[in-house]
Amino acid sequence: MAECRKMKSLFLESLYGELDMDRKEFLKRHLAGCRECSKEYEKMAQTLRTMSKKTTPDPGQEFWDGYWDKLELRMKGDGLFEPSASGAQKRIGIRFGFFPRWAYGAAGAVAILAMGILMGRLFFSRSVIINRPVPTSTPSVLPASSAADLTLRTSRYFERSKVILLALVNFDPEKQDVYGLNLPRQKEVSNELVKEASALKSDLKNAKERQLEKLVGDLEVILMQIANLKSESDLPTVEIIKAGVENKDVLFKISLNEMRRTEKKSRVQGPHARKSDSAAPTASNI
Amino acid sequence: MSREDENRLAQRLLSGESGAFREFVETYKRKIYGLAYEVTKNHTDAEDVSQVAFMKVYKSIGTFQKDASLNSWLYRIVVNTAIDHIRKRPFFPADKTETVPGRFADDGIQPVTNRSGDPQHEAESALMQKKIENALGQISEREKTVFLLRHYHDLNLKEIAVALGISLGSVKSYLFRSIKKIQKELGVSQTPLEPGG
Repeated sequence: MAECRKMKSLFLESLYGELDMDRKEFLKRHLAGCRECSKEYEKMAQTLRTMSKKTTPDPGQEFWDGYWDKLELRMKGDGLFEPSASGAQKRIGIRFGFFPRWAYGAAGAVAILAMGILMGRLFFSRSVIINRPVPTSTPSVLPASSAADLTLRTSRYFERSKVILLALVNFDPEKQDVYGLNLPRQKEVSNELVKEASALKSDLKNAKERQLEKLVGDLEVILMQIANLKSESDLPTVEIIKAGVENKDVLFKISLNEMRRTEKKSRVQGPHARKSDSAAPTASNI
Repeated sequence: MSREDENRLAQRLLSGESGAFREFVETYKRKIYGLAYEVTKNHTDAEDVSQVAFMKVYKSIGTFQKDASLNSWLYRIVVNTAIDHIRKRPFFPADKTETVPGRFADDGIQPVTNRSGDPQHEAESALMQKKIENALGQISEREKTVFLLRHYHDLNLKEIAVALGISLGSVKSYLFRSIKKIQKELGVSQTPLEPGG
């Protein structure tokens, strides 16, 4: 009886071929001499053979052929991307999947905090600002009128780009109709801005405005992607573009630039000029 | 897929090799969908569970231990994903009874009944499927998961233990109990068989 119990503990491994040769022989000899165990073993084997007749429904070849595409789409939607990402993805430097999700949340929190500190300094430390000597502007190689013109152009460029990017970033494919996004118009404006970018970058380079030049360059890549969208329903690419906007922090940089410009303007013109200010800023304080 | 191939693929995934993840998905998609379908009994849920499982694999491949079994690791993710999915599912989902069209697997998920076109054979086959489904319905979820992993997904007992985070003894116990319950439900009468599988 004790031997039978020991043998029964080997049944499962034997039935599934997980028994080594020695124990298999051992069990075989026992089964040959024990009618009770042999009967039980055979019943279990018969049960498993019957269960092997089970069929599994197959959704069909079409489903399997499109499986990867659907998964990839979903991964992109979730901020993940496949390692063999397209050149466009690599260009805008998306690196999701290499950092845990919380890292992006933390980065966002830090950005908001930084913005809060900046705004706090701007609105609550005015007296400190106006008592300080007015800092000398970054030397510009452009005459004042050209500098003002460049500032205006850059400012308008950022404003127009921002409108497009905000529409895209705030677009939620699950809640909104893609046609409400008016992609044809976004593409048209993006195309115009891409054309304008090279001349603007060149002028900013001459004015030694390296940061602004880089920001325009970043915007140019993103706007180019929008301009090259294949169709109105090209949601995967829209998601990639959104990720690129967030990854490069372009909206944050534009806002930061606007705040810097306002702050410098207020220093130059004093606190009372703030409300009625309509004069164009200089290139160096964009 | 042999164990060597499995190890090679795991290495390629870990090193972030381009295309390795897609190969991984193509290799396992049918098995994973099959298991998800067995657990959820619903095509849409099975597709969702399988995709979520692959996404979890992608996100957490860095936590995979080089010397561990890719199979166990993957199935652990799938089982947990499926269980989570079922827990979150509404009690009376609208599409609970949704099944896939009547085609059958030929991909090695498990043995397949040949479709003969003979109405009597078809009817017998359908009856057999019904009996098998009923038998599987008589065992607990844990027993069923162990049985499915061993019988239809070819995970060995140790791999199942790792995948489910339970002891080898528990795996054997669940499996033994599940076979006994199924046997009773099927009303099996024995025929001679050699040990060793």
